[in-house]
Amino acid sequence: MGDRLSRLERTASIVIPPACREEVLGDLHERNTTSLQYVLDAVRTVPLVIASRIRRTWDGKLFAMYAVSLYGSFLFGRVLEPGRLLQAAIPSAAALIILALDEAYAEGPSVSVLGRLRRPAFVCIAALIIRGNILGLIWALVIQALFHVPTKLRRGPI
Amino acid sequence: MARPDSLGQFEQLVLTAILARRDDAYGVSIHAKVQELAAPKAVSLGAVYVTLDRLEDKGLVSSWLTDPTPERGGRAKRCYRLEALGERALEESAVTAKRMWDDIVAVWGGEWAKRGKRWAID
Repeated sequence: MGDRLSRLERTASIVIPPACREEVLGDLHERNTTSLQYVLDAVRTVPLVIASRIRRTWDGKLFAMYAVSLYGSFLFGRVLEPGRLLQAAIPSAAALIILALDEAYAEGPSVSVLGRLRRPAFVCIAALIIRGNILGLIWALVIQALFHVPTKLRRGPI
Repeated sequence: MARPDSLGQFEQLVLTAILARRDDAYGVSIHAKVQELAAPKAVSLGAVYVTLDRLEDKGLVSSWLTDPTPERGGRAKRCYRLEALGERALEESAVTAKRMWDDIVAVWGGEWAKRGKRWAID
């Protein structure tokens, strides 16, 4: 395999979720011999692989709780501003998308304290940056402690 | 015994491809077989992955990773096999398709069936 193809493969390996990276990269390698073929095949394949992974790791109830807590905290942070309903919805939606991607790209259940705090920390930082409220952190911590099922315990191979 | 959900057409194609490939059913080989079955329609590899994931979630197929091979750049294959539920779902779909075929031939006649076979060969 040429240098260019190797570089493309390295790029693809960053984008493909770890849970299915091995077989997808292998299949793309087996099917394609030129850079152009590889790029075209990867562009058609990888978005569907990511979407499928998000579907598999998506926990509707958990994300509904995240959505309520995020929206509530962002809304609370903007309580005196005009047009606050929409202003709170945009960062909440962005945060939810990032959380969904974070779940899809998770390599397995985290056992370290830092790993467990990663998601609430993200919510806290996002809340502070976008003038949300520290309630976001508290809510996210409660939700994670009570309801979050480690990725590995849910359906699908990791 | 659990009763399988009814299958979509693409799910039927993927299950048939896994059945046909036997011990060598993995992404590339399943896609090639599905492409052959769905001809002249084009099928993307991504659509096959999405369907394999869904079938696995439904418990119709199971998968495992093989050892890495040099022709795949040192990457492993994810091989698939039909589970009992998948075999039953595919069997039900095939029986339904056969009944449809018999009734269509009964109404449209043997000539039409021959023409259908010719299309399949072409």
